[in-house]
Amino acid sequence: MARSPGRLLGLSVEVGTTAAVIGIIWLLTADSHSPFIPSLPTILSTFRSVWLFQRFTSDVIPSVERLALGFFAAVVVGVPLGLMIGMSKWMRMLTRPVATFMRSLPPPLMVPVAISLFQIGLVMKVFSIAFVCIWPIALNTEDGYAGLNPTILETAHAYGLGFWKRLFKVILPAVSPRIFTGLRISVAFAVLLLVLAEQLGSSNGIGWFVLYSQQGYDVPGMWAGILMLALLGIGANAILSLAERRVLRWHFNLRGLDV
Amino acid sequence: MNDDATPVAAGKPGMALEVHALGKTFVGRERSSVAIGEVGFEVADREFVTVVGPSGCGKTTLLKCIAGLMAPSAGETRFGGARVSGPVSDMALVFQDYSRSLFPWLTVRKNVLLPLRGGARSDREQTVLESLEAVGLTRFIDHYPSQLSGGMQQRVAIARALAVRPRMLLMDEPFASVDAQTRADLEDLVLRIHAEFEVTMLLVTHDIDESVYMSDRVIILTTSPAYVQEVLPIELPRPRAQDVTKAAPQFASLRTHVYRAITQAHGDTRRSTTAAAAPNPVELSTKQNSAFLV
Repeated sequence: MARSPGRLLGLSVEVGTTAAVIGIIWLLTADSHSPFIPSLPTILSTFRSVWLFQRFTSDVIPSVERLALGFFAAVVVGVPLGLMIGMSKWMRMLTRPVATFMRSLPPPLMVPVAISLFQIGLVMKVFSIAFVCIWPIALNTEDGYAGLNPTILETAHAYGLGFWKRLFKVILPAVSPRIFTGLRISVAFAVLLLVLAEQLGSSNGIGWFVLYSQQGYDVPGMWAGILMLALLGIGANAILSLAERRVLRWHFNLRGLDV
Repeated sequence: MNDDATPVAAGKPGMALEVHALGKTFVGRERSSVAIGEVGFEVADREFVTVVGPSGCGKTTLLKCIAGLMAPSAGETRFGGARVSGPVSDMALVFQDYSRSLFPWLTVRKNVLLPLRGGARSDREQTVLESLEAVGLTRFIDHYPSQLSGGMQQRVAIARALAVRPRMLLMDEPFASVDAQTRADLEDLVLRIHAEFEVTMLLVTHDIDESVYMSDRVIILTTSPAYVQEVLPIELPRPRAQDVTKAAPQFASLRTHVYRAITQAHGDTRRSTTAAAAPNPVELSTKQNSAFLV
């Protein structure tokens, strides 16, 4: 993690480009008279008055809760499912056709299905998110298990490790880099499904607010909602990479040595 | 070889390991390949036996069958008189590929601690400390394997094997992936452990010098499929030392003997198995072996 000149340069390029893009948008929209493209200061002041803190508890908190529950459910189901498919030839044969079918469904389709199954409510949103997120997690876990070096499992076998020790001390850590690949893919799906579920069947939440503002000709409100959704996505990704860096420290050390 | 032998009911006294007419055939969809033809030998308690053979002759397969990691197609292994049908807690295995066999997500301490069961936590910690002391690595107890050199990693693997207090240590080409100096150090370390811990040793190697230097007996295998070609007693005095032992005239003649036996086996089977030409399915990946024999 030493700060090399290349790293510093990369950082300044990133910050510079971002600042330039914001500056250009600012200038282009500064004296905009179109009601659909408000100026940046207008959007920011709307953002402040909407989210700090008038609608924070009524819309942001429910959205975060739905996202977290759906994602958590997907991990809790997806990882064991992936391991079971990876470990058992029978499970693989039984689940492959179903998994292939489920995976090929366009994710938005799940929302109407969830509404008719569970009616409008928390369960329907959590289900929509979880159902789509399970597959990237399960398939990456399965693939990671299949790609394990046989010596790892032979060592566990030769030393007579019991099932739980083998699972928690050997298999899960060994597969964890691939599990995180699955998590990173599905967190993007989770935000997507959250917005869809909130727009199709909800009376609060950030996704609902964007649609509601647009339909009520509150264009600055719509943009403020979009900005909030972007921040939510960035936040979810940041939490995930923080967890990844903690859990996979050994893995990054290893790669640092090999490369 | 074993036509008139009746199955042994109980272990012979003083025998740690008995391998009876062991055979292994890998059955494939297209064709089958015979990795081990028929191999039989015994290892006495506290004896140091080395199995040597050309690379790809089925040594690793043989060791996996003996360790109970792989079921043999014919014959059986008895350890302390009991038939081996799965991994035995009194037999510890040291793999060639230490970088995979040690778990990179665990520290040295936790790697050695992992297979230990029963007793108080403090007793287990004490065992870990003693085992690491035997290989001279107590200073690195809280390091991760990736922070250690290859030779040090293999010493951790040996410490992990010792920690389960095994009656017998099985080692599969344990020094094949380290440099020459480290290899000599590890050989002497294993000889010291053999003497101090009074443990029975079965080492598999393709290195002829190593087989003569380490052992009480050398079992020479033929080219794939493996048969026992010769069992050679090594009557060099112990303790052995890299400089003195390897300079002895007796050492030179023994190593020449093994060398000729192996190269002759290589020539013989090359003629007789060209028609089958089934590549050994297990050891194809060990690239570094051939240099020692060709």
